[in-house]
This record gives sequence, structure tokens and C-alpha cells, in this order.
Amino acid sequence: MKVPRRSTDWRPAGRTKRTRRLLGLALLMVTMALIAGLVNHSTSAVQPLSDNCGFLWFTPSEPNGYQHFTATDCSQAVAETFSYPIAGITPALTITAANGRFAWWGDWIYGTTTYSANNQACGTQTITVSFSRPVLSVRLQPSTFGAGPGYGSNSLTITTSGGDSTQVQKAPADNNFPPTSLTAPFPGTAITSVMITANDGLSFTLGNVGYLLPENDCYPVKSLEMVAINSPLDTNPNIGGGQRVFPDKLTASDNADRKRVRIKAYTASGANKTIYFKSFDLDDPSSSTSPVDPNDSSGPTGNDNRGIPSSGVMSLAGGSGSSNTISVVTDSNGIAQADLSLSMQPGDNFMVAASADQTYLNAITIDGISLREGGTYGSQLLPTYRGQVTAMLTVWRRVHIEMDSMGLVSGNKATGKTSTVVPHAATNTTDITASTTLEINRFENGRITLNNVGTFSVLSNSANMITVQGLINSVPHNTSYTMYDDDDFNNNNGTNLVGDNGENVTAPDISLLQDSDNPAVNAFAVAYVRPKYDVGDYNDLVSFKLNTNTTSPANIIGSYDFDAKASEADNSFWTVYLLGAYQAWTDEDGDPNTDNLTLGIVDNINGQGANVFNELLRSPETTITTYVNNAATSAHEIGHLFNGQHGDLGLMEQSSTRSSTIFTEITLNRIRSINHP
Amino acid sequence: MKTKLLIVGIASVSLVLAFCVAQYSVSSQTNHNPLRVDVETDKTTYLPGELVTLHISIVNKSNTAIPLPVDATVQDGNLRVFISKESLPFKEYLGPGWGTRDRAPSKPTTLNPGQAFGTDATILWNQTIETSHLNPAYAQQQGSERLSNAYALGKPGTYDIKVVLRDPTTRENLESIPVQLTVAEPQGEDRDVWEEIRDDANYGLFMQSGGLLESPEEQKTIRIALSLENLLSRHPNSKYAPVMRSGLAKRQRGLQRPSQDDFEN
Repeated sequence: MKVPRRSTDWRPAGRTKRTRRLLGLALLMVTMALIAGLVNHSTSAVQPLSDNCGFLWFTPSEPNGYQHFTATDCSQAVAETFSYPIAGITPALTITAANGRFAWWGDWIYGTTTYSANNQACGTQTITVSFSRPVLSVRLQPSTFGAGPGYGSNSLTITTSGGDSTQVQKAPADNNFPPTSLTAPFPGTAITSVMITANDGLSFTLGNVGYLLPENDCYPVKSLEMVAINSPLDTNPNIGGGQRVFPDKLTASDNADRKRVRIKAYTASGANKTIYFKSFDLDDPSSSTSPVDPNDSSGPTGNDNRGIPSSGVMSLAGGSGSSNTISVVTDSNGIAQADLSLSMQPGDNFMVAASADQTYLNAITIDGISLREGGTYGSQLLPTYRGQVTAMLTVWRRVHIEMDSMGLVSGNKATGKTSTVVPHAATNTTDITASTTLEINRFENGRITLNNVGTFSVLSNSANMITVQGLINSVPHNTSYTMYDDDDFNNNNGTNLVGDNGENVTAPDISLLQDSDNPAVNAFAVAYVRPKYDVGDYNDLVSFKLNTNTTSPANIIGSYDFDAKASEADNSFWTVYLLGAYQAWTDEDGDPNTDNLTLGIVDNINGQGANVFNELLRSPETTITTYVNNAATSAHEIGHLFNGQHGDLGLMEQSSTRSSTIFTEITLNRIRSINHP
Repeated sequence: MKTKLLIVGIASVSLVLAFCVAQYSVSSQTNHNPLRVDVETDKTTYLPGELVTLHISIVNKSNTAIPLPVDATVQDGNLRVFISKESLPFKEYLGPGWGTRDRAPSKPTTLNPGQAFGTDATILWNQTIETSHLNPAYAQQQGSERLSNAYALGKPGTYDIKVVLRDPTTRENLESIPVQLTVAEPQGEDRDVWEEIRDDANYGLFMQSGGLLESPEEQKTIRIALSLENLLSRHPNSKYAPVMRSGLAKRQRGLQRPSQDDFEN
């Protein structure tokens, strides 16, 4: 056996300035190529080279005994091809050396050689490893038979059949190139061959080759997808992002299961690979304090969903489950599918992880709105090569508001006939005896018309006496009169008060109850609730009541025309009623002005519906401000139906002291914890 | 040595001063509010399902006239009632329609020195809060605040009842001294009546408010009304008779034209 002579100095003598420039340029090009090579690889979580799980290794050996090839010139460089039956691959791997014969040396295996006494390059040295069936990943660590100049190539390019390539450099003092892994992109075609090329045309050895067959992939889950089934998914507009789903019914009679989403794990492993799924209850990102998020005292902590089960339920696709874990085998396309069933409380949030390693899955911990490896596996945030995750999924709910308004105002007056009419010159007033019993001072600031006499401003009234401005000296006995109070719900009558007779009461202002994700126009958005106006008949002619009877819940409910009340207690289809009414009970209607003013009322906390009193929600009856107005009252009343109470402050505070149109966290907690409004 | 003694002495004095200030602060907190909330009941012993009327007085115990928030009622939600059974923690009682009225800003009533504002509140039917759909932590959070029984005083025993006034202007809470009452086991005819109404708290709601949580002419309301009329006719002298009559009368007035007297809590 002849031993190749090793040159001690391969460097050419005497570098010129031009040569230095060229070398610098070459170095730059190599660096850029290296970077390009790196960019060609996926930037997602990569299995460490030290993790050989699933990889098979073969050591190519010279099939015909060793051959060595010592060449003194390039004419002796030839191509060779050998096929190997390798366990696990049928029929074989094929290894081809081009521009250099394979040589086997005592302590190095399989390489090319154009070795000559001068370590000459003889064209492009290439070894190609071909797989008779595609593999997912290839690992290589080429080397030279010695370190230092004269012992072969220092620069290799490794290219897969898919076009991914990388360049590896060997330090002159080292005889090994860095370990290199090439993985087929996913989705994409697997690797059928790998070509190793010496950039400098010099020799190198192939070394052991590791390859990963699809069925052997220990970390088969490449991506995880969440797919809508009966409820569309869209972007969660609230803090934390991710996706959103509305699991509630679309209509009261809807019977589709809208609480499920499909989770698909994509693998390159073909059929019958077992994949494990697990759902998690992430931390609530909207708050870190009680009462909304009471378990964050030591930092963001999951397991704070309100619904049950709080982590959701995993099941086979279309099946039923009983826990937050499930195992599923892949189909012929390498896809494993499972369903996640969600809770119904708004703001509940979930994430699903999938892995082929159940122990890994069980070691995962919740880290805010992310998942993190645990146990002996490390502490990386998912996704990792071992486990993939879905986006965060947050539950939103709809509240269907049936909105009506009372019809034409009628009967808002008092009529009668005069008996005595007494002018008082000293005060420039006249007292008129009323023929019916009147609510004391109800008609102050109102107007009275005496038939064929004239119209006068009412200053005050007792139970049976009306005091008007001005002197009325001559009035026939039993003169008919019509008297109006100062009601004018839309401020359109000026001094010609007519008790709004014949005018249609307006609907509540829903400026803060819009079907929107914008908290500026939907006060419930931060509670993960969207108002909808798709129930009822928008009746704007609900039976008119001059004073809504607010003396009991039943009497308040009696003022409603609640067509959708059958679903009022349906926890999968939230329904409430909102009525634009005229004014509250007789001692709350601002007539007389010393009356208290009730601007809105619900039948009960967590009741069925609300009245908003238009006649009182106007200037000058009430001082209208940013916080005290029809829109704020409407949203406030709906808040009561979600258990909101005045002591919560914020938008739930009474108008008498309200200084915000935003729900406090106390109210948000109530909204998100309710079964149904 | 002298320096050390001086330091110790200063520290000791500081501690004593701080303690005194704290004591003063606690005392001030207790005594500084010029208002006092008093509550009393008509009697000290009731039957389960009997209407309890709380007479609440908000007294100006200072020497100057002070404003009283006009919405100091249970319907406005600024007067709240808490009940403790047998020394267990107090939980909030929420009666029908309580806390529902949204009042506009208005000129507050002024209480002269020694003057009191009086209002009543009745206790019978309690609005419970659903928690079975919640995970245990939130169920406990929601349930710990509110009374869980539909009949607030539905079981024999000793109860303490206190009223808390929330001043919406200052946002301070002022508690009354609790009033104690006993709920006794009904006997004889009273027991017969109680046996018929105790399993359906709608009777309590009807007797207290004159209706149910539905329109006055709905079927369930009519059924309860007829049932109470029948019960009343069979037991006209029962201790429950007054509250049955009261509820039926309220309903009748509501069907006709309710008077201002019906506007009670």
C-alpha cells in the first residue's frame, strides 16, 4: 500500500497586491454564499445536530476491498458509482463520485481523491448520495484525511435535490468539516439526493451519512392549523391578538355545534403516526389584577378561564371527549385531526399544542399567552421542533338586542272646564279652578289654552287650582281648557307646548352599543361581547305609556313588546330587550321640577330588558354631558342586565355622579362571568 | 452609650406616636362621618317566608346641616343590605328591582342637625346569582358576595342584618350596627302554609312585589296569584295572611292603575 505523500507547503510563493484583492473578493463571495446558504434553510425551530432521534446512519465502505488512488496528474481522475443496500431503504443508496475515484484509506472512509504529491485540483470534485426513496433530512460531516494544507479541500458546497444548499468551511488546522444538516422544507418535496462539491476541487472524504426516513421522524409535527368548523375564525382585535371565535348560536333555533374548532397537525410522516394534542387555558392578557384576573399575583398565570372545563375539551374529529388531551393517528396524507371544544364565557382563551412525544406535551407549561417547554426538555417557548402550537384562540359572544320604541304620544294633557277664574293684579297672575284632580305642580312651566280666551303659561298648580302668568279678567263659566306640562322629548315645540301629542317616541341612542370591535362605540368590546340587532321587529309603535310603571319588575316588564323573550334565558343565545320609552313613574318624571328624574331602569339586575326615558334625557330636564346622555344610559342599562351594579363605578355609576363611559374591571368581570344576561 | 439611649428613645417615642395616630385614624374613620345609619325591624321573631320590613334612618349626627344623596334607597343601589346567618360572613341580599334605577343629578336633600331621612326596604325573595357554569375559582368569587338562598330568611335560625350606605359623592361606605332577628320554625296552620310555598320562591317574589319576573298577565303569574288566593282563603288567620294579601293587592293595583303607595322598596 502506497502512502500518499503529504505536501508540507501548498501555498504558492510571493502574493501580489492584485492577488490580495482577488483573495479578499473571494472571501467576500464565500461569506455571502455562506449567508445565502443559511438563508435557504428554514428559520423555524431546528432539531439540534446532537439529537439523532430517528436518524439512521450508514458508513459507506469500499465494496471491493480498499482501493487507493494515488495520482500524479488529473488524467487518472475517474467517476465511480456504488450502490448499497441499506437497512431501512429499499432498494439502496447510491453514491457517485465524479471527477475523482473513490479511495479508501486505512483510517478514513470514502472520499474522492485527486491527490497528488502537489495536492492538485482536477476539476470539480463531487460526491452525490442518492436515496432510492425520499428522506426528510440528511446529516453529513465530511472531512479530509489530514489537517492543514496539502490534505484536501477546505471548502465544500452541499446541495439537496430540492435546491437547498449550504457551504461549509474547514479550518486549516482541522480535518473535519462542521457537522451539517439539511432538512427538506415543509410543506415540500423530500430529499432524494445530496451532492457534496469541493469548491476548490480538492479531495475530501464523505464520512458517515445520517438520513431520516419519514416514518422514523421523532418530531413529525411540522405545523399546526386551526380550522373553523361551524363558526368562522377571524382576528382577535383585543389585547393578545391571535384568533377569535363566536361559539354561540346564530339564531335562537340554531342547533349546530358551534363550540368546536378543528386542529390539524401536519406531518411528513405518512399514515399511522401517533400525534398527541393538548389544549391549554392561557393567561388572560386583558388584566393582571383581581377581579378580572385574580391569579396573577406572581406574574401572568394561566388556568384562569371562567368557563368549564377551563382548558377546553379535545376529542377526535367529530367525536366527543372528556379531557384536554387526545391522541390521533395520521391519515395517508400525514395529517392528524382533532377537535377542540370551547367554553362559552367571553374572554376565555385557549392554545393547542401537538407533538409525537406525549411526555414532552405533558411537561409543557403556560407562560402568559405562550407555552413553554418544561421538564428535562429545556425551557424554550413553543413552537419547537418537538412541538407545534396553534395561535391563541379567544371566545367572544354576541348579545342580541331587540330594540323597540314607544309609539305616538297621546293623553299628555289635562282637560276640563273652568269654574272660578280669579286674577291677581299684584302678582300679575290668575288662579283658575281645575275641574279634575291634578298632580301637584305637574304643569308648572307648562301651557294652558282656554277655549276662545287664549293661551297662558302655567306657573304652578295644586290639586285643584291652576296659577297662570298674566291677568284673565273675563272668562265664561265652564270654559273648556286644555293644559300641557313642559314635556317636549325632542325639544321641537318651543313655547308652543303640546305634550308631544302625536309625536313618535324615538329609539334609544345606541352609539355605545354598536356592532363593532371598537371600544369607543361598543362599551362591551373590552368584555369580548358584540351587540347584534337581529332579533325582534324594530317596533316603533309599542303601546305608549305616559308614565312607565316602575313600581315592580313585573310592571316594568309589562311595558315591553319583547318578541324574542323565548330566548331570554338561553345561555347559548344571549337576548335582551331595549325600549325607547317616554318617561318614568309619576314621581320620577320631572313634573314638577322637584321630582327626581329616573333616566333609565331595568326590570331587575340580570333581568330581561331596559327602558330608556327620552323625555328626561334632554336638556333642560337633565344636564346633558359626555357621561349623562341617552347613549350612556342605554349602555348603562344593558350593563345592569349583565349583573352590573351602581357600586361598580365607571359606566355603571348612576348618572347623578357618573364620570366615565367605560366599564370598570368589576363590571367587566361580571359581564364575562354571566351565564346569560 | 448616651447616643444609643437617645436613638432608642426617639424610636420608642416615634412608635408610640405612630400607634396613637393610627388609633386616631381608626377612630376618626369610625366617628368622622357626620351621618349615621340606623336600622330596625317591626319585631324580632319571624317565620320563614314572612316579609321583613327594615326601617332605615340616615341621621345627621353633626352640628351642621349636610347634604344627603337623594338616591339613598335600595332601588337606587346606594343602600345595600347584608345578611349573616348564625355569625357566618355577611352576604349581600338583593331584592326584586333593587339597584335598577338610574337617577339624574339633582339637588341633594339637606339634613339639619339631628334630622333623619327615612326609607324602608323589605326582605323576602332574594335574587340569586348563577355560578354552576363557572369554574370553581370564579364560582366562589361570584358566590361569596351574594346570598345564595332564594328565600333570604328561609331557614330557622338567628340572623344579623346590616345596611350599608354608599355615598355616591364621596364614595365612602357607612355601615349600620346590625339588627338581629330570629326566624322560628312555623307551627300548626303556619306550617301548612309554609309547606305549600317554601319550594317555589316565586311565591315569595309575588308576595313581596305583586308579580313575578314576567308581564303581570302571563300564565305563571296568574297561576301563582290563584294559588295564593286559594291558600289565603284556607288560612285567612295565618301569620302569612298579611303578606299574601299585600302581594295580591299589589298585583291588582298594578293591573288597574297603581297608586304612589306602591312605590316602595
